[in-house]
Amino acid sequence: MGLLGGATIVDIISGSETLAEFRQYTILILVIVASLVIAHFVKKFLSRILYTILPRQISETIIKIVYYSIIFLGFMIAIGTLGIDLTTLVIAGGFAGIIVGLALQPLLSNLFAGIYLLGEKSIVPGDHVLIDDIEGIILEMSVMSTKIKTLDGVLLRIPNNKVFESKLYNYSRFPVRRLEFSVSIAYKEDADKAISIIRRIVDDHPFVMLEPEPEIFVSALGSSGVEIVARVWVPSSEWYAVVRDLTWKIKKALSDSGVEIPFMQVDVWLRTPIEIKRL
Amino acid sequence: MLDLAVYALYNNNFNIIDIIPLHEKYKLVLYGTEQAGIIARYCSLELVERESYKERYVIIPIKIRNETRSIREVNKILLDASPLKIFYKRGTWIARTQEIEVNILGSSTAIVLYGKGPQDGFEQLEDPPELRPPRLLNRSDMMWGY
Repeated sequence: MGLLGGATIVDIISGSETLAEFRQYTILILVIVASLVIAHFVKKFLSRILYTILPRQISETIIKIVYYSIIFLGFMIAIGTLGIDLTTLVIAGGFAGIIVGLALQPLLSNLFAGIYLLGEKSIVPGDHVLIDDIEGIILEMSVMSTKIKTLDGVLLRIPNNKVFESKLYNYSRFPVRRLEFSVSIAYKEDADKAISIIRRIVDDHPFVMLEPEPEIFVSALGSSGVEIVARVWVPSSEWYAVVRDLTWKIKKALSDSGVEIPFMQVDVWLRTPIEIKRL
Repeated sequence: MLDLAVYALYNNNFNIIDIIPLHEKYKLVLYGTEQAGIIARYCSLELVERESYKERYVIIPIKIRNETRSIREVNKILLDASPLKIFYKRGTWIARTQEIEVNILGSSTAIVLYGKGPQDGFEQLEDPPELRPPRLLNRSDMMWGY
């Protein structure tokens, strides 16, 4: 083995290998640090933009996904610089992704339904809603579930997927809401008189709006009486007070004026007479 | 129309606990569409002399300026309670708001400007606390007709 300036060839080769390794590890560290720095700046940039245009929960979720994706990508590139073949890792990752995806399907469907609902803003906390047959006030919305306080004061947590798939009525979205009151009067009664009595009651109520104008009319000729309908517009927040007041006030005013409100009467005819014996 | 408000004082804070309308009929109207309109208190207007007064009512000096080139009919004026101030003469029912100017801009749009209040002998009524947020604009817009 010859000498080159005091160092053996083995020394030079091993020295260059060490240098190459050192360079590789330096690149690895630099890539990781760079990915962390980029992720940090992207996070800051997205925070500045997304919080102003999207709801907080959606913004947080998007920022987290982007942040960790950049770091993950950085690690993958860093590992690649070491000369490790990533093909196997990618294939294994793909299979793992499928399995995890299947296992987390319910969670993911809730997550995406939540992101959609928060973005769409069809409901917001404080709204009075009917979701399928559940009626209440929205307390809180997160990316995974929606919390509702039912009208009888019970806290209910509904997965967002269910909210997304259900028929949803939002009673608070618009400032006013129409209520309908139906009453039946006997055929012998004067419908015009009944209508004027109902109109007086409706006009006297402070929450029944002048505009849009209330509508009171004969809606049907029923099996036991003449059906009269009163359609009134009220502030959405006061619907319950109006429902509670008007139903009884209309009934009372009609009764006080001598207008008969018929009730369902059924005559039962027996084909064969029955014998009633004294015991 | 004037309402009587009942406040509770606690820790130097006034909290409104009730409003008693001084009129028999208390009605609301929707100004605008059912989707995006504004719920307003209804008050039927009666034209009176500027210097007159009426119990339980406030006189609003209104100037209407038609800035369009055609004849316009004014059926309603939307007043915002926030910039609206009430001035009164102590011990009387004489009450005024500041000068209101309605500028008709188009077939269904107008702006309402809130000017200065009367000077001589009038005192300004203190605003209810809930109407005290900063008044950035002394104007309100009427977008759905007048």
